[in-house]
Amino acid sequence: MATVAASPTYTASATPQRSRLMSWLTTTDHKVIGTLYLHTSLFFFVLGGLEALLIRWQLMRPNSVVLTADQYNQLFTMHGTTMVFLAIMPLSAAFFNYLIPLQIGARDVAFPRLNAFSYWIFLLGGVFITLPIFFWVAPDGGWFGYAPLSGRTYSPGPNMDFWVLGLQILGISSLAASFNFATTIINMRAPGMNLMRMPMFTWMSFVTQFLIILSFPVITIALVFLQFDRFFGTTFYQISAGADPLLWQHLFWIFGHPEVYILILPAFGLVSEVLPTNSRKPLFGYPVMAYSGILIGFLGFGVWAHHMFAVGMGPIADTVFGLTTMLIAIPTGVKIFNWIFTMWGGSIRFTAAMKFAIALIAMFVIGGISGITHASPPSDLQQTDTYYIVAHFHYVLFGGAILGIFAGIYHYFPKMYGRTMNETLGTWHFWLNFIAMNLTFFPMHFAGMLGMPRRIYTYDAGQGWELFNMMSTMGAFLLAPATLIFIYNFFRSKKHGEPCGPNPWDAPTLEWSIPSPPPEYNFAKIPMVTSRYPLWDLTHPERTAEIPHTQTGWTEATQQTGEHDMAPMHIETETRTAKELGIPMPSSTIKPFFVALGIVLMFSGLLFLPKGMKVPAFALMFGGTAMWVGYLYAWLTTPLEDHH
Amino acid sequence: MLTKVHTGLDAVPGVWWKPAHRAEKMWVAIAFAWCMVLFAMMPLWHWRGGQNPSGIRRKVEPRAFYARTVEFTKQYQVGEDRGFPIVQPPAGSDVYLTALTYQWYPILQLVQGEKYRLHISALDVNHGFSLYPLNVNFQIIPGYDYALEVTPTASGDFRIICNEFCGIGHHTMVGRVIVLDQRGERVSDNSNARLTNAPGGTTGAQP
Repeated sequence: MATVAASPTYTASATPQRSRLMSWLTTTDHKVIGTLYLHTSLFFFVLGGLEALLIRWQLMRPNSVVLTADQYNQLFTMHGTTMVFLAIMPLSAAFFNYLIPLQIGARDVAFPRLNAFSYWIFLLGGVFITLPIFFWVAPDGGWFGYAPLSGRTYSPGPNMDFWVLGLQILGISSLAASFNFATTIINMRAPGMNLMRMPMFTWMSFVTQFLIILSFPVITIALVFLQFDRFFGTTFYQISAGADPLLWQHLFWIFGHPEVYILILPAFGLVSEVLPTNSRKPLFGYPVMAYSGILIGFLGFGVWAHHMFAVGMGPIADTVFGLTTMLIAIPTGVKIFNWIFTMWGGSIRFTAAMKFAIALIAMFVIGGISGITHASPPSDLQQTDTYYIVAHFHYVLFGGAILGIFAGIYHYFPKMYGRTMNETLGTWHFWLNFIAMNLTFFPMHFAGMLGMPRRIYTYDAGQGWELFNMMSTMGAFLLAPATLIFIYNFFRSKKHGEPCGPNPWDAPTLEWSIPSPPPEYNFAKIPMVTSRYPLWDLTHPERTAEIPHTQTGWTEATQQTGEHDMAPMHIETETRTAKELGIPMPSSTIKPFFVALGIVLMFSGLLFLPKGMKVPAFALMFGGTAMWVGYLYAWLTTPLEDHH
Repeated sequence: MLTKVHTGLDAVPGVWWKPAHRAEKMWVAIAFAWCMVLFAMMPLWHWRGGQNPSGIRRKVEPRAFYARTVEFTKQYQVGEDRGFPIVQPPAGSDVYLTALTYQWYPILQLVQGEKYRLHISALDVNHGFSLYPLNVNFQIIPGYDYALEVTPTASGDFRIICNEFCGIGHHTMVGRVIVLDQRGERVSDNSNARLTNAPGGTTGAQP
């Protein structure tokens, strides 16, 4: 590997006289957008982590006064909101952007400008919802903002305004991106890349896009109701006017539970790429892995009320939702066993990515099993809203989603930057992270079983909670250096990492057949696929001998375009630019950025309304609307490619 | 021009479709039977095991409920703790408890082994009823009366902790339930974990 030259030359020649900032603002390249997503969401991940550190510092001892109660409420609300909407979801989106087109053999996503728009509105929405924490006016109603507490009567300040509007802005980003990726996967697969040959990450992403498309409209409706209640005096959640406070809970969790699978399925997908590659064996039970992903997504819509067992829905509803919840354990268990069987008998290579992937299996099982304990309503009534629940979902989200994403970053970093991340630092990061996360989250089970409720600012001594809180805080303080090691490794490896070739891990899928980092057009010739593991067909045919190989779709592809590479699969070495090769690429444009900015300005105007500041309110609302409508019109009337 | 669409869902030939091994079939049969047992256990435990309190939930006007609680408090008040009324209703009567930011009103004084019909509701936002240290949890929602048939099975001085986030004073929202022993006398504050005659290990809520 060491003899391979560093980044090919086209990366330098492809950026003509534009400044770096300008090239970011105007990019429509899914790979650049993917890395922008990656950096932004890592920033938010660190920010959410710092918020967690303050929370843990406050809870370290009983009757502590490190923070005020108001600051504490803002911190735990923002920790949840940041981690869910600004860290894990966009970290997954970074991989959607970077990997989906490469894995299916496409040159870009279906709508490159919409893709840029998704990123910019995510970034601006993230800034919108995060900025208030620096002035201590951040949202303070919990990440699920239960009405009527989140209504104007009980939260009169601007805090929850930021939350209601910020989540709507972020929802636009998620919806735009999900339509884009679903279309990309349906329409832009290379010839022969039929659905049952897609890499498992693309499969899980595909399911995730449908979860987003179907669940985000629900939270949008709930938020629009709340927004109208807060700003325009409607009474959707006002109990004195006859509203039912359960409406918000139902709407929120119909979105909120699929959201859990939106967070975890991409990580499952990443792990399903890392495990076979590093076990040097095909994924065990590929079709069942795909089907169980679909089933998790499908069942995920029928379980929302298990978040509400304690509201008194009655035994029938409780039993039904308990049963559907337990059903989800079946496809999830199938995945766990298939990962284990993928490693079984394989020739395992313990790279940093592989360690994280294996740790995900173990930690997710702990989170899954504690989840089954509160799938049963009688036992849930002992646990609901205690730290036991906090322990459970941190095992699922940190032990599941975040470990999977770390595995993905270590695994795909070489593809993104042409250099590998330092394995020694990766191992340090892994072990510190692994020990610290267990030290942080495992004692929470016990604090919860001893009755410690969630979201309390402080607690009295003598209830048996001190030791467990102290342990959790120590663990959190240990997570900080672990993350620092990772951040240092990440940025250092970009410049000083060991240069690698197109396929440093000897992986089987299409994204590894092109140079690292890939040229702007990804594939000089669109590949023709005959099996699930095209690169292993070339280098290790014995590994894929039992998998069917056909040329489905080849004839039609050549009839339609005639530009496909009829040669067998090979590793590409093309280093010319798109222009030299005559490949039409979407042109750079700043319009998506301004559409996003206009929408965010329009929403910010509303913040001034409750204070009676009509001039800035209407100036921002009308100005923002004019901006996004104008730029959207210009965007839609400009062709995608300027040279063709 | 339309071409044939490849769904990719062609049959997958391969090792996966071999007939199942005898051990695998047995494993599936045992797992299925065990699933059925567990599924049946849930409703059975609910109705017969007496572990999970079945509340009856009715719609109610929050202000009217609070007014009823105040009236109930005036009727049966027996004492006071730092300004909070202590109320001892007669056995078998309807008992009212209102959650409001950030207090539980009033303090209830019940007698061990007697039956009460407990009505809990909230005046303003969602609250959580959690009996410490015994950890029974309900969400208390404004507009809904959560009615429970309650027989205290342990005597002592219990705390009600709010476990549904309700705002800035959430952590201070602690209520009190005093359960007198069968002779009608108070037991010392520290004995609240002493269970007598408590099947299922749960107190406060026996249907």
